[in-house]
Amino acid sequence: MRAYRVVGQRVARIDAREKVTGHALYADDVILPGMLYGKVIRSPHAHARIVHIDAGAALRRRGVKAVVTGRDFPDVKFGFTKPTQDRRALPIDKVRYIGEGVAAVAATDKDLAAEAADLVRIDYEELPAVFDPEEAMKPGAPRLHEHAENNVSAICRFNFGDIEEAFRVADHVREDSFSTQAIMHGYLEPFAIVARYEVVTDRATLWAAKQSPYIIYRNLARGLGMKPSQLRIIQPHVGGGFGGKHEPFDLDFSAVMLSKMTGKPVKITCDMEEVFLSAYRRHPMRIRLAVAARRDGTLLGYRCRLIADGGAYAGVGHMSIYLAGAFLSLPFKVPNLRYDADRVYTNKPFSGALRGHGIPQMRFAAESQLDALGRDLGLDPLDIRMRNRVRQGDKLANGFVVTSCGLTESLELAAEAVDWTHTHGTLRRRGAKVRGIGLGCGSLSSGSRMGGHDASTAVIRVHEDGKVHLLHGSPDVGQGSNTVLAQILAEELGLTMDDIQTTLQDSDFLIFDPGTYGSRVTFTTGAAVRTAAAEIRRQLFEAVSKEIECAPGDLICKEGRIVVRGNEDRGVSFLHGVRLCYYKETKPLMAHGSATPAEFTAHFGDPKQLTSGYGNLSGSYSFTTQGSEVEVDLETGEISVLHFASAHDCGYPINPTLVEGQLDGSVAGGLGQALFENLETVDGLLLTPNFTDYGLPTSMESPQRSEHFHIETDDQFGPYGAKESGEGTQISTLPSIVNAIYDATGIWFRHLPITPDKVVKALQETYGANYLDHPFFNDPAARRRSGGADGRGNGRSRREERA
Amino acid sequence: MISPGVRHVRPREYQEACALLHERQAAPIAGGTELYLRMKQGVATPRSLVDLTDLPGMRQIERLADGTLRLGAAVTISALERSPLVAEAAPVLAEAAQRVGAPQIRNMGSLGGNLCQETMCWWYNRTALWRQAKEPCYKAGGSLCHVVDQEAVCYAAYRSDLAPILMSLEAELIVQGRQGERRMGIDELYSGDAAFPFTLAAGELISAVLVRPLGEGDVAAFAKHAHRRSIDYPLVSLAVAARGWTNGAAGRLRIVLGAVSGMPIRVPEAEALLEAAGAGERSVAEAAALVAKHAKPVRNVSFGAPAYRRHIAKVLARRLLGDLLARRRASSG
Repeated sequence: MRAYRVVGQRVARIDAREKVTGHALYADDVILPGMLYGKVIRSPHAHARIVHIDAGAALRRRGVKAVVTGRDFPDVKFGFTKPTQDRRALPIDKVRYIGEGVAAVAATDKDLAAEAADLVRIDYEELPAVFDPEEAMKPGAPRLHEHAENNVSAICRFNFGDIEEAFRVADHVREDSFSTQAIMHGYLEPFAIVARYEVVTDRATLWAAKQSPYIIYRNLARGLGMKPSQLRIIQPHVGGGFGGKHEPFDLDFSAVMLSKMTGKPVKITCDMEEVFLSAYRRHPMRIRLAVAARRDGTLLGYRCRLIADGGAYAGVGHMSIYLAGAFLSLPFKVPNLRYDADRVYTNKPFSGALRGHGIPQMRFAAESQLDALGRDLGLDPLDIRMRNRVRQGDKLANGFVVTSCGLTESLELAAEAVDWTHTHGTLRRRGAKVRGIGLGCGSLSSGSRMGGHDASTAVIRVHEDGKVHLLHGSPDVGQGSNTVLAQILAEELGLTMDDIQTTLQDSDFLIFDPGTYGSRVTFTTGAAVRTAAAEIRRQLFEAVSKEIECAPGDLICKEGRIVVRGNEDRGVSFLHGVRLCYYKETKPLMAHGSATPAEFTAHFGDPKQLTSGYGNLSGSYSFTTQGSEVEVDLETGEISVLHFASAHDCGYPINPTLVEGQLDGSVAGGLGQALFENLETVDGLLLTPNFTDYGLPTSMESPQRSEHFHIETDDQFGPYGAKESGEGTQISTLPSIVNAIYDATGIWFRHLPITPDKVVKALQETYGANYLDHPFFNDPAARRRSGGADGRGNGRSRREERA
Repeated sequence: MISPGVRHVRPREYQEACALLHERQAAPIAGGTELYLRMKQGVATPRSLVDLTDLPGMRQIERLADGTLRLGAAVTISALERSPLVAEAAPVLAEAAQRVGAPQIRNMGSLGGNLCQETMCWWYNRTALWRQAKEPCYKAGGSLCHVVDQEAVCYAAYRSDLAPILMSLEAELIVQGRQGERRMGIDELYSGDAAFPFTLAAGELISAVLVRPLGEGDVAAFAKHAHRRSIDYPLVSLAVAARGWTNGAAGRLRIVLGAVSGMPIRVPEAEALLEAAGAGERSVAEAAALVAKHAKPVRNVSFGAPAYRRHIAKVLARRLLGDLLARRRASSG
C-alpha cells in the first residue's frame, strides 16, 4: 500500500489564489515604459498575390511609428520538419487564407494603431482558390505552394501485417465513411505578446501567451534571422492552450520586428475574432474505414483511407495524420493494418494540434463502427470490446508496447455505471424523449519523442530559510501541472505544499522543455523533478550524516525532518539540515535533474518515420472507457447528455481533483465536437468567427451528472506510476456519445457535428414523416428485432456470400 | 474598435433627449449591450450617445390607476425578471425575460433596447476586417443580399426575445418626440423592411411599454428555441396570449412568431382556427401547420437551417397551442 503524504492528495492548486483574485499576470497585462501598440493587417482574400504595399499614408499619421511587412524579414521559411518548412514570418509573395497576417503597424496607442492599419494600402491580385481537400488534389486545381504537387502537404503509408490475407480469411467485413468538422480550441485568452528589443545586446525579450515557448524559440528565431540565444522568453500565466498555442504567429514576428525598428517595446493583443480567423484548428478528416473480423468479433484488420483538410500551411500536420493512423488499433489489438493518409493544402487557416491531436477523429470512426460490427454479428458492444482489448505486455502491429493497462477494469466500471446489461438496447421513452447509452474507449501516449530537443529539466534551489524553489521548463497552461510538480517535490523532500515555491519559466534561467503538449509534463518533467530532488537529498544527507554520525544511505526525509531510517527519533529538522549545508559545509543547496522519453521510444521527429509509422510512440499509454447516457428530443432533435462516467487508467492520480478536472474538460470538449461546434466557412470565409456564432457548449450543456473512476495500474516508467490524463479521455467521448445516440434512436451518425437539424432530418428519412409512431419508438420487441436503422445492410458476411 | 471621439450625453428631460437624438449620427443608449457590440464591429458608428436612463420614469415599473402595467423603457431585463408587479400582472413576461442572453447581459440590457434591437444576419454583424472579404449588402448600404439575392430586399432577422410576447399581449408603446408624446400599438413599431426595421422617426424614443394585465381567464405562454440553453439569440420563438380563454368567454387569441423574419409575425389564420368554437386536436395540428407556413426563415444565422427552423416553429406551435386548448377544455369541462 502506498503511504504518500502529498502525492495522491487533493491539494489545492498553488496558483488558485493568484488567479481568482485577479493578480496573476498574463501577457496582455505587461506594460513597459514607452511601449507601443501594434495591429496586424489581415488578408480579405482567400488566395491572392500581394502586388504592392503602400504604408505612406499610415506612416504620415502622427503617432504611427513603423509598419512591417514580409520584406522586412530574412528570406527564410520555417516549419515542424524540413519538408514542411512552408511558413514565413509574414508572407511576401501571396496570401493563402482570409485572415492571414500581411503587415503590421505600431503606434502610440491601440486605437491609433487600428486606424493606421486601415490606412495601409495593399494591392492584391486575386487568384483562384480551393477549399475542398479532394478538389485540391485534382490535377489543375489552384496550387497553394510551389513545392506541393496536387497540394499534398504530407502523407502516411502504413502497412503492418498482411492486410490482404486478413480480409481474405475474415468471416465478415464492412466499410463505412465518416467525416469530422473543423473546431477551435476554445481557450479564453486570445493571442498576445509584448516584445522588447534591446539594441545594445542585440537581444529581444518576449512575454507571450504560449504553451510551448521552446517551439516559438526555435521557429521565431529562424523566421527573424536571430539565434535562439538572442531571445529571452519570459512565460506569463496562460489562459488555456488545449494544443492551440504552440506555433509562432504573425503577431509574434511583427512585435519583435516592430520593436527592433522603433527601439521601443511593442504589444500586440488579438481580439477573439482575429484568433478565429487566423489561428490553427483541428483537422477536418474524411475517413473511409474497412474492417475485417471473425464471426466471434475478433478484429483481424483495418484498411483505412484518410484525407485531412490541412488548410494553408503544414504546421505539425504530418504528426496529426501520423497519430490518426497510429491509433487505428489502440486501445484494441488488431494485427493487420493498412493506412493511407494524405494531408492536403486548402485556402483556409491551417490545421494542427488540438487535445487528442488527430486521434479523436479516427477513434470516432473506428469505435462507432465497432458497434455496427457488433450489430452485424449479433454481438454486444461491451463484449466485442472485451474480446479485442489490449492487455499489459502487448506489442501492437505498429510497434507500440503496452507497459501497463487498466482497460479491462475501465470497461467493467464504465459499463456498470450506466447499468449496461439492463439498459442497453431497451426502449426508454417518455413523451417525445428517448434515452440511450453508449460506450467508448480510448488510449493516449504519455509524451513522445518529437525530434530536436526532447528532455525536461528541473532546477531546485533550497533557500536558507528552508523553503524550496522549483524552476522547470514546462508551462502550466491551466491544467495544474505546476501544482502536480510541486506535490512531487514536496513528497520527495518530506515537506508540505507550503514549503514549495515555483516561478514561471524564463529562458535566461533554465533550459526550456519542448513544451506543454502530447500529455508529457507529469510523465517527463515529473521524472526530472524526482531526479533533481534526489540530488538535493544526497547533498543534505551528506551534511546531516556527518552531524549525527550515521551513513548517508541510512537517512530519509520525513515530515519536515531528516531522520535515520528505522530510528526516526534520531535526526534533525529539514531547516537544520539546510543550514548545515550552507553554514557548515559552505555549500549552497541547488540541483538540477533532467528526464527524456528517448530511452523507450522511437524518434518521431523524422519525417520518414512519420510516413511509415512503425515504432513505439511513448513509454506508457493511458486507457479510458466512457459510458454516457443521452436523451434525444425526437421532435426538436436536441440532444442532452444526462450522465457521463469516465473510468480512467492514468496509472496513478497524483492529484485526483486535477485529474477529474481534466476528465470533465475532455468530456466538455468532446461533447462540443460531437454536438455543438463547427467552424463553418463559405468560400474560405468563416461564418462563425466568435463564441456566440460558433456555439461552444456552456455549463448548461455539460453532462448533468458526471462520475469519475480512477484506475491505478502503477506504471513502471511514470513518476509514482502516473501516466497521462490531460487529453486521452477526449478520444473516447465522441464514440461514446455517438453510440448512445444510436441506442436512443437507431440512427448511426457518421458525420459531425450531430446538430438538431440533422437529427430531425435523419429521423424523417429513416422512419418517415410520422416517425414518433414508428415501432422502433413504441415497441420494445421491434427494437430488438431491427437492431436499428442501419440494420445489417452495410456489412457483408462471407458465409452469406458463399451461400 | 470604438472610435475615441464619441460624445456621451445624459439628458434629464424628454425634450432635450429628443433634440439630441435628432442630431446627425446620434444613437440612444441604455445598457449598451447590443449597441457597443455593433460599434466595436463598426456596423454602428454614432458620433454621440444619448443616455436615456436618467429620463423621468425610464427605470420605473408601476401599475397605473386602471391596472395597466407600465414598464419604463430603460428598466433592465433582470428587473423585469424579478419584479413582483410583473409577476402579478404578466408572469409570462418575466419568463421570457429570463431567456434573454445571460445574467450579465440581463443586468445591463434594457427593455427598450431589447425591443429596438437591430435585425441581424451572419453576413452583416461582423467586424470591418471580416466585411472586407465581401461586397457590402443592402443593410450595409450596398446593392445585394448575401442570403437571398433575388429581389432588392434585406433578409436580416429580428431576434428580440421580448417583442413576440409583448405583441401577443397587445402591448402599447409611449413614444416621445420633439412634438410631444404619442401612443401606438407595438405592432406599429415595425416597418417590415429588415434593412430599416423600425418606424420611429429621427428624434423619437420609446419611453414606456404598457401592458394590460392578464386577468382571470387569460392565458399566455412563450417558447424559445436556440442552439444552446443560455446566451444565444432565438432561432425561432413563439408567443401566445389568449384573453377570456378559460372563463367561458368568446376568447381572443394572439399568436406571434419571432426570429424568422425582419419583424415579429402574427398568424391570424391560426388564431381564428383555435378561437372558433369546437376547436379540437385537429385544429391544433392545422394551426401549427399554418404557423410553420408563416415562418419563412432563411439561412441568415448560425445553426439556423431554414427547413429546421420551420419544423421547430411547428413543434413549438403544437406544444403551446395544444396546451392552450387543453386548458380551455379543462375549464369548460
